[in-house]
Amino acid sequence: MKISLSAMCLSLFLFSVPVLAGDLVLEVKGVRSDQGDVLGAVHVRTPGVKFPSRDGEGTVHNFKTLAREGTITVVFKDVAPGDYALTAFHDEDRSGEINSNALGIPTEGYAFGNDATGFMGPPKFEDVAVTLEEGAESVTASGSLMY
Amino acid sequence: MVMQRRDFLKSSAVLGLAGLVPRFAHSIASTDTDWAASFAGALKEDPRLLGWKTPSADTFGTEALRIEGKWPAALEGTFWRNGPAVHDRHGLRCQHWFDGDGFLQAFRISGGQVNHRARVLNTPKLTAEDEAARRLYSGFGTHVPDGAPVRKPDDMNVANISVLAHHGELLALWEGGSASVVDPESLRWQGFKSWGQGLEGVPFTAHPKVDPDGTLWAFGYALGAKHQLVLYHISPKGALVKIALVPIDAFGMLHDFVVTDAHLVFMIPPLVMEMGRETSFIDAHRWRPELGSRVLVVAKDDFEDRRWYELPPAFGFHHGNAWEEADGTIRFDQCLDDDASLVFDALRDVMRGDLDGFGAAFGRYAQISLSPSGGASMDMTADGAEFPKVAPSTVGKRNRYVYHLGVAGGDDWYLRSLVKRDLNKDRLQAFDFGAGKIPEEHVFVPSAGSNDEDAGWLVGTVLDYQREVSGLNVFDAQHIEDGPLATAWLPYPMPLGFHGCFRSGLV
Repeated sequence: MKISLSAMCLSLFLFSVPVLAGDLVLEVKGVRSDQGDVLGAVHVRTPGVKFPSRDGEGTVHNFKTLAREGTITVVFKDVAPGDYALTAFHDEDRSGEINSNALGIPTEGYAFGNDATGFMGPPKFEDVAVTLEEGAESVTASGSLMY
Repeated sequence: MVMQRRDFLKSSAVLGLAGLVPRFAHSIASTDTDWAASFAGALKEDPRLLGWKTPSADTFGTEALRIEGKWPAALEGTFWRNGPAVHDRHGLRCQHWFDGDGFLQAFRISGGQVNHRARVLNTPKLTAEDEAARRLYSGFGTHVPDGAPVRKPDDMNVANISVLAHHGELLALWEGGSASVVDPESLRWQGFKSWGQGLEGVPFTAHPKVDPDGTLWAFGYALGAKHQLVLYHISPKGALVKIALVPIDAFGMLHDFVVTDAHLVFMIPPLVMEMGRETSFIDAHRWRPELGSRVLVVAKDDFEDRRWYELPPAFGFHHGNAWEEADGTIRFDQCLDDDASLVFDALRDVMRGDLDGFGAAFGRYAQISLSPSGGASMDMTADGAEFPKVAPSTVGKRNRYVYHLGVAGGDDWYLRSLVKRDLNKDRLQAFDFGAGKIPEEHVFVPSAGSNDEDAGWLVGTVLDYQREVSGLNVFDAQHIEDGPLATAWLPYPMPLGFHGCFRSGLV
């Protein structure tokens, strides 16, 4: 009984989502081992927040999965149209955060959507983001981990 | 800012997820010139260019080299050398002398016999390129079209400048990223050296200084959102004692430094990395003489104790030594030129076979004095000089002698003589190798049984481009004008490289 109530709540919630919503498919490629976790975030353009923030500001979705060698796919369903930027890293030591050296250069594998790169710093939001168009069923944001 | 391990974690936690690495998108040097064809054509006309030809194999080994002269029986040990060698690979010739992949050589000397081993260092960079069967990474002055993204400096680490043996560990040195640990028996690349947690991939100079007690001092030229000088203090047993990050405005390309008993001394040239210019590493730098040269002096026992001096603009690579007078005056030397045209032009042009202007671009021997009252002066001689070395026992202390390569005459195209400079008498002794030979850096090796500063040998390599062979020289440091006591000749030529070191054992 309890279960079906939850299921009903869920379906009510789903029906309440605007019909224009679609799926945001996240692909993290190049995971080099089964060790630790892969953590990722979906960022949106946020006034006053410098991309990519590290404290979760400006992110609308976060995920953490067990690491599996190869590609990890995560789907967020019924996402509103808009621009979404994927960042991810391979938390091999399960510290919960990306390890960096004294200069701030990551020492664990990390990925940006579109495999975007920056000049003397992180890439720009515009280069990392994908757009979920109104009426589109889904969009895929994909990036390869670089170690 | 003397940082402890905990401070590292704290400071890194507030930094953004950042690949603080230039993305080398395109280089002004990447014209439609076919560098390999230009070089090959020029080499047919000019045998001197043999020094910049890629060796015919990745590994070399010869037992019992033919010895000309009498090798001193007391001189036993290993002479290590490093330098760029793989200038051509996968159809692409490097466009700057500094970009060829590292090539480590070991001359093992025992019982009057000399054996030779050499190997191209199998860095992750070279391994990735060999697996892809193409060049993937741009470099100091070379553009690789459609290359792989560079996320961290070690992605493009070619480990090609120098070699250090410290506390039983052999390190091939670059300067843009980590030092590399190399197996001294097989000469195989083993891994990047980290001096501690949070120091993985932090730049480490090709010119660390070793105090007579074995203490190691080093720096890193770290470019990023803010440019920083990394300072390392490492114990004789190879353990990190302390480290500091010093932010420096308009940081100029820094290749070498000197130490006194009490201080580290950095001569910062006005050759400045300009952010936002997407090009090769060197082409992202601009000569800004209006900044002058700035000298930073840091206390060895307190990295926060720092003072600055100002000098006219000059550019140089290498120092000999530094010391402090009783009144606190710091004196040091450097091979200096008026500008950085050497690094922009001559060291690039040679890769396409153009040696015009090569010799004229090298620096002159200069002495610099820093007064405790804040004044600084520079005395530049007219003597062309490079690759200065001193006796290891004098590092940081007053030295009487400096050994360097020099020009032998006014029309020389490159450094042709080995010079012993007596600072007490302002006197030079020299040996001219003559046309047909190109000497490389010679290091001082002390002999047992004498405390005289120059009691020992000078050991270094030479390329005989007419006979197309390389050799290992040994000079009596007290009589260098007599020429080498002996030369151990290889049956093949080796490419010209940069720096070496001598160890009485293997490492």
